[in-house]
Amino acid sequence: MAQPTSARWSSAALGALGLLALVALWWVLESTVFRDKLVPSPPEVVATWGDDGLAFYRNNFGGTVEEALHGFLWGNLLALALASLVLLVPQVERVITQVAIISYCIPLVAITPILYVVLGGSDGPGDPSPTAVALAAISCFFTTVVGAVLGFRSADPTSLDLVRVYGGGRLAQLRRVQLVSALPAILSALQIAAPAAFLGAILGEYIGGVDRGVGPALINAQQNLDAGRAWGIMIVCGLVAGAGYAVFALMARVVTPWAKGAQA
Amino acid sequence: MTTAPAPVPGGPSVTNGGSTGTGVRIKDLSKTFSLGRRRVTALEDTTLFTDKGSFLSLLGPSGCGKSTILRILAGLEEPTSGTALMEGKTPAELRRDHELGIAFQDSALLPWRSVLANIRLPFEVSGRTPDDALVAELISLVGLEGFEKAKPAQLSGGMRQRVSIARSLVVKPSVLLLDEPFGALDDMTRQRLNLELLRIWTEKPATTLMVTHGISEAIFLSDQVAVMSARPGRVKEIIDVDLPRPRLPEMMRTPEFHALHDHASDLLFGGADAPGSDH
Repeated sequence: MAQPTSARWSSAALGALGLLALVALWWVLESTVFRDKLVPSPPEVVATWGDDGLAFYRNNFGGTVEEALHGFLWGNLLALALASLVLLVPQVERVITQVAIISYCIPLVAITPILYVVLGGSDGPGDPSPTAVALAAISCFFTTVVGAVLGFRSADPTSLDLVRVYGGGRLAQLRRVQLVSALPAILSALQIAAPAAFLGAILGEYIGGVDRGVGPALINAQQNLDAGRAWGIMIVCGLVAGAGYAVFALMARVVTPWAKGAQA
Repeated sequence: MTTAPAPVPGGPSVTNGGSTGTGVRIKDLSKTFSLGRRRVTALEDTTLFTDKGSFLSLLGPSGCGKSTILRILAGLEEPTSGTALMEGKTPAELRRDHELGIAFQDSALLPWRSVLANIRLPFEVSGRTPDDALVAELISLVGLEGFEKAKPAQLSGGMRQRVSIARSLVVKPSVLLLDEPFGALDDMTRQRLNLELLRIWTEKPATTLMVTHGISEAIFLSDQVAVMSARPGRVKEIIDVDLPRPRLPEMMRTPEFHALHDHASDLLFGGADAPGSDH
């Protein structure tokens, strides 16, 4: 935002150039190394997008995005609540970090069957699958716990002393210094959590008993050896996850402009 | 110097320079920290008396306990034994009555707040209505007009310390604590800000305690300089600076100033020929 216009344009141009190079590389590899394999060319993928139509994508992505959003909300709420507990009762830090690390170390595909047995699939067509929601929540839990704990700890100790000298108690320290200091770290954790939640939701759908969604659509494309459609879905997945990331990147810029130096 | 006990040079207990302690009144102050099983004495039986409205500097190498004294007076540390009063009040009482102003080596400005909002912070923390006229006056006193809306990241190190000084004065403190306020700045900025501090202090007088490891600035600014030694931290001697006020930069070139400077150096470095090496 604060960047001069020319710098913004040149960075946008560089980004577009990178994307173009990637597509070019894909096209070259498709027509050389993977000539005999089932790899669609960029125009073929664009054609499948046209054939499948907007309705196909809306139907399949709508439910998955909803699951991802629910999971994102619950996972991060729980993570922020536990990180706040660390802030108030520092003795519990080890326990909570351990729980977060365990949640990170267990492979998601290994938890999915357990979750499905407990939570089950979606109630009706188009309804979110509880398994997918839970998996999305678990996917963003770890990064947010760690980000928020680090963020709360990042407060400048001298500033905390200052608040005390001017008669402020623990609450004033929290309100005036610690919560705001933690914002940049929390926002960058959420930035990573957004694509992670989407990935978690898709993974949950693989087992999660839904008949409509990105997961089933991918399974379908795979079973029919429909490479064009699989690629088309993959690219839209990337766009959706990237949009989630971008929303929080933008929010960080607007809400915590003072932290820009740290992010650059 | 009437009934006060005689100063004992080098002695650990009584070095009060003849004051009755209407300003700083530190008596038999000790502070021991526990580091695991080890106990470290940061400060041992320190006694320091100054008059109300005087400027006292604590001068010494790192580890001599000078910052510990300041943190005890600010109410940020509890002494292991002894008493520490300023203007007859305990640190808790000073804090309750909002009579304490403080500035640290690290300006400790909140990066998301403007210069103006940073200077107002003490009001908000203590739950009082900001005195906008005073804030404006202080901004001009420290020479930051036109920068009211600037964020700390847009300011130089020297300017940030000016903000920090203005913030320390915003509660109209009767007691001012300065913890190496210009210690992180380059020498030229530091000298200029010392002159400004002197001007500001003359306009807004307060009983002041400054922690520093700069011999010249301690002598130039202070009425008394307590020279301290480390391990364990204790006051070696209190030097009365009898240079007249107002102090002018030219005084730093007088024989009187040099004599005081040499005396402080001798105390700090034991007359060895390698001054300035201990940091």
